[in-house]
Amino acid sequence: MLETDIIKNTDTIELKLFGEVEIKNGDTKIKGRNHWVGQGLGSLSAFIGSTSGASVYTATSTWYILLGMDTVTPTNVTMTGLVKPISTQPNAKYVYGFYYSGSISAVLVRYESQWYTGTVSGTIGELGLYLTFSNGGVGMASRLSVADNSFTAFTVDTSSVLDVLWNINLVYA
Amino acid sequence: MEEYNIEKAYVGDFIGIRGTVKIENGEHIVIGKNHWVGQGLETIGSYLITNGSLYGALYSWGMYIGSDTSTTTTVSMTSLISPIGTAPGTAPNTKSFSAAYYSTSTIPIVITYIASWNAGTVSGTLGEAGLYVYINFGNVTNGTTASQPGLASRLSAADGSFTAFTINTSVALTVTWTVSLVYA
Repeated sequence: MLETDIIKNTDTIELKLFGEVEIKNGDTKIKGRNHWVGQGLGSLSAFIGSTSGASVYTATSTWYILLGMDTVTPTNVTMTGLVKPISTQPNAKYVYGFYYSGSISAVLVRYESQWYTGTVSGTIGELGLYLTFSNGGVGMASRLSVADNSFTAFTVDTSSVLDVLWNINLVYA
Repeated sequence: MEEYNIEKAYVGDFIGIRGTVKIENGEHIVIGKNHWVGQGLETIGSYLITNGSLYGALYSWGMYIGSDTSTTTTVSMTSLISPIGTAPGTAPNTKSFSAAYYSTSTIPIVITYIASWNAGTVSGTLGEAGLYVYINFGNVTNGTTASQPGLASRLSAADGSFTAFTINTSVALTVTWTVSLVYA
């Protein structure tokens, strides 16, 4: 985790949602902050604005992380998917969720995906976190991109596992 | 009321969730920023953390007012301190909500809750107000673990958010609670 300053946040006027991504592949170790696209923001607000009883789909119902090769296209609000996705799905994925209750409150969700040795190759310039929207659709909610200066592109070391940990945090601002 | 310029919203590292409250009662017009309590944060977070489906936050939502002027909002607070009427408080005579949409798409980013009490239905000092939504606590392996409506956010004179006043019972009292999701 980068700078999730949960403990020091005592002003409860605003809630803040942010994501931090860690990439490990052999000698490559990268940390960066994601950028939220419009449909990620919109789905969260749709949940807050929903009157439905027990029928609102939630973000983690279906989720996955994709890798991509684009290095020149900055993230924008209307983006709905990676620019040059690598279609190879991870070999393993895990999700963990935590509530911090009591005097300090926060919600943390950890999405982790692993591509085993030799299953992906080439230059990695973008990553996308795909979540389920409140209407049941699945799409990209957030993106980590070289073009946003969030990290430096790297060539996959095909002799090592590639591991991506996407940390989503909802905390007091 | 503080305005969030949605035209200037841009893709950013953060999404901020804010609430502003406007209270109108005759000559009294009060505007302030809400404070989110822990179960408000957690029910919004339950959307992210849950595998399955949940009750929408507006399922059985409500708004109540109270007379407390000395108790600051805390994360662990789950109700108003001194509600006007029997707890959780006297329900408004009318309530409604609406959503504003991002200009270039169908993304709702401003949700407005409005509650009105008819003249003479509530009285006394108004020192606090609460937005109640359906509180969810789902998890990554089990959805649909909703509980019940509860306090999500509070506007309080004790927090310095507004100045308490005596309700004018000869006119209606209207509370407009605006929740905004913005890039920050």
